[in-house]
Amino acid sequence: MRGGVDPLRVMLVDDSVLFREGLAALLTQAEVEVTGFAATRDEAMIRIAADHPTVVIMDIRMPPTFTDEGLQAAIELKASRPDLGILLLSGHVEVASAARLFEEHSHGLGYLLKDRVDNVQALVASLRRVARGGLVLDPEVVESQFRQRRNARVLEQFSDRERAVLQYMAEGRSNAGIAAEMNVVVKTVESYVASVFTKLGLTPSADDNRRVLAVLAWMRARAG
Amino acid sequence: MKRRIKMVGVRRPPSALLAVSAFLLAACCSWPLLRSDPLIGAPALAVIAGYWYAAFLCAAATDPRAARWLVSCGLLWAGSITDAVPPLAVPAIVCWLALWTALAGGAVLLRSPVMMQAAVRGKLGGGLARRGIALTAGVSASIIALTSLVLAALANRWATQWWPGPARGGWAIAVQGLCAATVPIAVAVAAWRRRSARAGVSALLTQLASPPTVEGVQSALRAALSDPTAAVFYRLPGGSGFVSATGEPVDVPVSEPGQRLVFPVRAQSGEVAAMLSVDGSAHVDAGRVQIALIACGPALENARLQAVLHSHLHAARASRARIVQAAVAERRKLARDLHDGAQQHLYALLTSLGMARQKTSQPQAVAAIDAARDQLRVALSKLRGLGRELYPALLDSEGLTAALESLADDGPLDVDVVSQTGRQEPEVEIVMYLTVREILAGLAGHSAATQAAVALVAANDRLSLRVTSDGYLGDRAGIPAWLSVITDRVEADGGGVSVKWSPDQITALGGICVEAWIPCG
Repeated sequence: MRGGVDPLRVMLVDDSVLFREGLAALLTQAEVEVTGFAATRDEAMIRIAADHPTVVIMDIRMPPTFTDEGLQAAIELKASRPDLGILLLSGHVEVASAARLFEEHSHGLGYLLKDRVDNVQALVASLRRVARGGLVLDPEVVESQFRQRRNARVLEQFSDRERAVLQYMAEGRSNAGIAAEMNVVVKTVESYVASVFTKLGLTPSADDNRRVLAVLAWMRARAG
Repeated sequence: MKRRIKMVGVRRPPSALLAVSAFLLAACCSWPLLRSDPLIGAPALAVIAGYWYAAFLCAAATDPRAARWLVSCGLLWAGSITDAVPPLAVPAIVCWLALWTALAGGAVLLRSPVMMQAAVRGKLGGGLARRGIALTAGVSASIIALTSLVLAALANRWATQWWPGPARGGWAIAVQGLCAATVPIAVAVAAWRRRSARAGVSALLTQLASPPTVEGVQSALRAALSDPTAAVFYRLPGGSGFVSATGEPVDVPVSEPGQRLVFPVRAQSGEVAAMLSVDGSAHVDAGRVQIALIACGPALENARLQAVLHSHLHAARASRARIVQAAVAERRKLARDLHDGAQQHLYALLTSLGMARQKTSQPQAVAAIDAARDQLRVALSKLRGLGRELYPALLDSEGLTAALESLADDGPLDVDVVSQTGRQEPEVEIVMYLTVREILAGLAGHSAATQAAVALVAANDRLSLRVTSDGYLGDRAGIPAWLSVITDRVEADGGGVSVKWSPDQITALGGICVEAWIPCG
């Protein structure tokens, strides 16, 4: 596994020039190298082969059909370049598409709502996690699951704190990270995590990815 | 959209029963000859049977090829007498052969195309002329046959005079006589058959249902003409094309040689009111068709009015469906424009605000930027909601089932979705999605429902929906207004809606049951 010291080389794939430029400026200012842009899947494939970025930020909806070209491109890229990190951006919460992608690949993948792009620190942290081979899942995706009525019964068994822990876990945070967010000690977080896993019937694990995968597995089980 | 009516004709064999009976009769007649002299008897048997059949075909003008057959039979017949006639009688035989071939072959060959042409033209006059031709042909064929019989008898007599031998001439004359007799018999049988068929037509058409319907007229004509493919196409007033019995626009029907024959049907004013298309692969008795058309004339005029009405209904339905499709397309375009236009600009703005936030450390500026970011997030979320309202992105990416499940999660009702359908056409999915959404909203808003069950099944080219709910509509009569809006759209799309409700308030699902279907697949 590569260390976090590797310089981030990011490529932006989005058909909106305005958004691309804005995001590039933001990333450049945060000292992230932007290797190039692409507006379509085909263009992206060529640029990726030429520029060798470490992470690709990809919009899910792209021309020509504006449905899930980005997702298809991500699946293709993951098959040919497993080490390349891919951070998918979406204007909508699309749990099913996210779940489908994460089902096949559990390394170097992220799924964020486009709304997150104004928080550059969080964005860069997500990029680094994806570049390292980690997983990132937008909290909104998890929260949308919490909102769903058919999940209500399952969620009733969680306390507010446990729900918060589940959400942070979905974001790929470590126990220490969660502890810092919640202003509690790591030991308390560990007990919450253990309790969440027990209630979900999952085996506890310290690995970040496996924790996100556990959350996704739970989501899929509920959605199915 | 014009529909090209394609009907493949069924080829009807010319009365096989008659051929068999002719053969049996010939066998009976030539049995003594067959026993006493098989050498002459066997060909004689074949000749009589073949000749009989050919004569009937010719008389009924079922097949022009029969004429050629008749000629060859004549030659065979000549062969049968040459056996009985010594070679020395050649001049007489040549005379006889020449005369027979010229008269019989020529007359029959000439008359067939004329008759076919008359039938194709299909005019009433054509029918009369046709009958005349048949009569002339029948009489002339009989005269030819009798003449040839006399000539053959003479030839035989000369032969026995010039070349004495076994007296076989008597049998030959008997065989020839039988053959000759078949011609007028065949003509009579054909005429009788035609007449009885025509009488059958009038009898059938008097049984036309009153008031006559387009379907009634068509099925009566089919039965009367013994042609299951017969179809009537009605002309729209003003000469603007033809419509089928169901009111669908069709191309102007035209005759296709060997496939379809088309007869114009004239109204009392003389204009062409309709076209009758019949199977043209076998012989068509134009007289019978004309009698049928005259007999159901008034019924046809009525049926035409009905067909025109159907066509207006058809056009109105098509126009309603187009309006729905246009509205759906518009929704989709708006949702897409929102997503690819306004929303992208707002995301770009979000990055700019993020940038500004990075560049300043002034507490007031930071607070202002954060406030702007919060506002922008709210705006984006509202815009997303609007886009979802117009055309949910899930419909495109994941399909109807996923979109409905998401809808069930977001609404105020406790909704259970059971869907047994895969991906459908986008137009079908959005119409069904909107239907479910509006039914659920109506139930929540107007019936005090708290829960609902949505069941979706795709089968038999229909996407069927059933929504049951614990709502209560009271003892009202008639469909609630919110449901009629839904009904309008579904019906415009070619589907249907029905609603049942219990007059008593019950808490279980089944208080209200709304069913809807739209065509799919």
